[in-house]
Amino acid sequence: MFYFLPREALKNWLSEISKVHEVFVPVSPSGFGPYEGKLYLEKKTKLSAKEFFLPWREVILKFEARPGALPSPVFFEPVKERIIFGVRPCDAKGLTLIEKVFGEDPFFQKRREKTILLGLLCKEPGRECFGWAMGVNPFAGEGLDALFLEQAEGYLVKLLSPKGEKLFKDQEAFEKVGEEAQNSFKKAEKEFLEKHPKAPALEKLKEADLLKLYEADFWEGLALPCLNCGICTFLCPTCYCFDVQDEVVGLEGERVRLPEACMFELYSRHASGHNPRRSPVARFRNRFMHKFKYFLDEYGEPLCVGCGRCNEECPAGINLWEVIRAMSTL
Amino acid sequence: MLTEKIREIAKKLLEEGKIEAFLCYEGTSHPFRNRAVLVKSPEEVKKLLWPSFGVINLATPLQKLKGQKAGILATGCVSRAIVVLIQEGQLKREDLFVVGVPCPGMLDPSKVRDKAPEIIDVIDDLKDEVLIVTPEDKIKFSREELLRNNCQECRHPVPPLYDLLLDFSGREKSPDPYRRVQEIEDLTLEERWQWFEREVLRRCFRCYACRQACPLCYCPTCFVDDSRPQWVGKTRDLIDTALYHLVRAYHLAGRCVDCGSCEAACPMDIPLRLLTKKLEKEALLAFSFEAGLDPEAPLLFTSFDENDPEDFMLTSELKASGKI
Amino acid sequence: MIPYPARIERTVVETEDGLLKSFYLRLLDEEASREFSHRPGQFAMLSVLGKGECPIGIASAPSEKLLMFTVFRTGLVTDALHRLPEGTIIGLRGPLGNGYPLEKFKGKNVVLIAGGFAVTTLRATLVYLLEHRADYGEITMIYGARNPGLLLYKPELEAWKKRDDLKLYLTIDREAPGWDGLVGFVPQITEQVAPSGENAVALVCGPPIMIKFTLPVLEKCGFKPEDIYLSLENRMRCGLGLCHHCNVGPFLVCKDGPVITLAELKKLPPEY
Repeated sequence: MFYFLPREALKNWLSEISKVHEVFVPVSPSGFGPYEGKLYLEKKTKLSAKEFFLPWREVILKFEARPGALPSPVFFEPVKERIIFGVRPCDAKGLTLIEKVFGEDPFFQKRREKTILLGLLCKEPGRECFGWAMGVNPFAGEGLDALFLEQAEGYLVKLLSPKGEKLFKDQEAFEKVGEEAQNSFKKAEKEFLEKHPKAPALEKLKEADLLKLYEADFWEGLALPCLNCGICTFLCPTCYCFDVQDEVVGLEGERVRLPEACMFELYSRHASGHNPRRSPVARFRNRFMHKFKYFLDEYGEPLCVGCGRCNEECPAGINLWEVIRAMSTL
Repeated sequence: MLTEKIREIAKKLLEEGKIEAFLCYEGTSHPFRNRAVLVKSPEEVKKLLWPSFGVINLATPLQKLKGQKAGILATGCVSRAIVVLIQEGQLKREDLFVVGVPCPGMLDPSKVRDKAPEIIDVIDDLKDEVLIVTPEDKIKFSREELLRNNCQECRHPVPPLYDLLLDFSGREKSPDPYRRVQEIEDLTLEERWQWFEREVLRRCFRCYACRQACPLCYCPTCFVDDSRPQWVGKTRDLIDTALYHLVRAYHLAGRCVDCGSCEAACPMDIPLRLLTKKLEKEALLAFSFEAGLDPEAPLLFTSFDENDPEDFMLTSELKASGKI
Repeated sequence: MIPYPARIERTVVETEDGLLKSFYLRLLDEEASREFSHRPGQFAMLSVLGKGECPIGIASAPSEKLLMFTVFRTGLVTDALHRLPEGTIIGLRGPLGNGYPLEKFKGKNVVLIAGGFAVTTLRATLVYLLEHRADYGEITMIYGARNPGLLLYKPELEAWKKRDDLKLYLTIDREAPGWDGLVGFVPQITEQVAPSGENAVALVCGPPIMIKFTLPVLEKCGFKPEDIYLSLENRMRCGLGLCHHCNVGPFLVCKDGPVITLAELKKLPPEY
């Protein structure tokens, strides 16, 4: 089902639905925020929509901070239903990849159920984008409830899920459109896919021998400039590792989940001090082996949607493609 | 051209066996990002270049090369960081061959980025002009406008420690190194906290790029990662984040050489170097001390002088026993 | 999942240096207590609210009433655990992990090789095997510690020594006064005892160095890699296969392990 929204009507519509729902939009190049009039739709945001589902502080347990206290069973902070507009298809695809692991995690699932994701196709791929090479078709809108395509006069909207259908059923600002409009969507998709094929690297990675990749000698050179910070990990729409910490203030305690990066030395350090991945090269290698071998082998897709944020933001100038090329041409 | 000089000297040192490897910068597919690279053979030196965007201090990856006899391209701040590392026992002077360059300053990627929506290339003449090449045009900018903040405020463009100094004329010392610090100092206390909360705390997402990029943050276990006791919480809570930044700045007092790597590494453009620059000013005013100039000199916080303005170390015992 | 509340019914200091303590736990909720069923080799996350969690192998057999864990005092949580008096309530999440596939061992000889305090889950295994003695062939246990004071479960060891349906070899690293048993490192004793790999499985638990030198001995005795079982350890957080901390290559120790055969281990990158 397709709808159309005239260009000028977008902000009005967002204001209208904000009265009934919690609405989040990209507010700046940095990231998302509640809709209060400001809208940034030029390019994708630095922080992806992942922040809504794997938040920087997720309380999983509450307790009184005294020895022998029982954990309080009330740990599901109620999540209000919300609409996120302006999600890029790569971010949404990233969520579907994370879901393969977090499918039964009650916290992730609760947030997923209560969220309506409205996607926005990019006008053109960014400098560092390569989602299509990773097998992502942005026009398919995986993980989204509806997908907006910006055209000359306004937005063509493709509904993708029952949640999306339910939302748009009585939105007056949108008019239902016929075959011609649908065809223009299909045409745009066809043109895009012809220009942007899937990379043969993925097939080569599937066939590559795991231990040979691990023992390869290119890792040291690639990892030299790496700072082992958490930028690529935290900005990545598919990275999902988390740390668990007990935080106590006075007599109130909370066990929280927070984002963690496998690049940090503490990530794999045992209490005894032994660290199976002590060297920075080992941790660098582990992140890419996970994304482009272990996950690929287990689920058939790489743990990467080609959004290019890592390439754009890495202060050390490391380029993911060079790593993929080295791995796939071994 | 500076790039040719660098390649020439690296080739010579490798051919003569004076070094096992040379640490410098190479270009990447991104028009305003350079990347540290280690070349081990004379044939590879063609990768090397003068990094207009060499924003991460080379003394940081240098510490991954312990044991190898390495050559390194050193501007003022790189050389000073090496001096501090030698003073603190982290590097051995004999393991290094420092190729010094009187630094012309480097360009700031985040200033370049904002100049045009699509940039294909950046051409830096190392003197007064930078050309930003877009698909349609070549736009001229003054070099000063695009220069990194720490380069604009640099007091030591010529490296104090080197085995060889390349023949090149770099920048002059900055006459006003604490201009930006002064701007913050001129704010009221309330305004200063608001600045700190807005510019630093609300943006930081604890990626630790600042700490990892800093050549002088080399503790095997950072205070943030201690668990017995746990000093700082690990989430993006504002107070925990404030504690992280303030304590890290203090751990660099009297040591920071203002290479700006922290600020360059930060993905959220947090003006981090202002925290340490303020402490650098304090060290200068209170103790006439500048970090990283003389490897033989004592460090600021592991030595005291009878004329230090704080006299508690000398006089507290005497006061306590009633003698004065 | 939320931790089940469990009361520390009893604590026993196992070793002379006091670093190893056994905790006997009872789940507070009676239904949970009845339904809790684990396999030897599995572990649980012990929770000290306010400090954190740590993964500890379950040292009690499934039939035993109280859940027993022997904890080495080494980090934030284990230190806090050691300070807790009997009667304190802690949290427990489990059973987690895969455990030993004991059904596969039926009819075979079972060789248990333990070094130091890694003997904990092998104790659970041995108790289970002895309860189902008729299902298994010869049972051999080789257990070594640095010195007699560091041997765990001393009263039980005495009882097992007396059994004639179990070959128990206890050894210590160096001569010690009052010790009249075997002396030598576990790999050396294994070589001396030379259990045959024919129709047998070996379960090996111990520090990396012990495992490194024991494996070639087992190979010489004719054990096939698919019949040698090891138990991996790694830093864990969720214990559920989500947070990814414990990965050894593609293998998650909390979900795919901790038990793994040598054949499978050889396919993994050596990061453990």
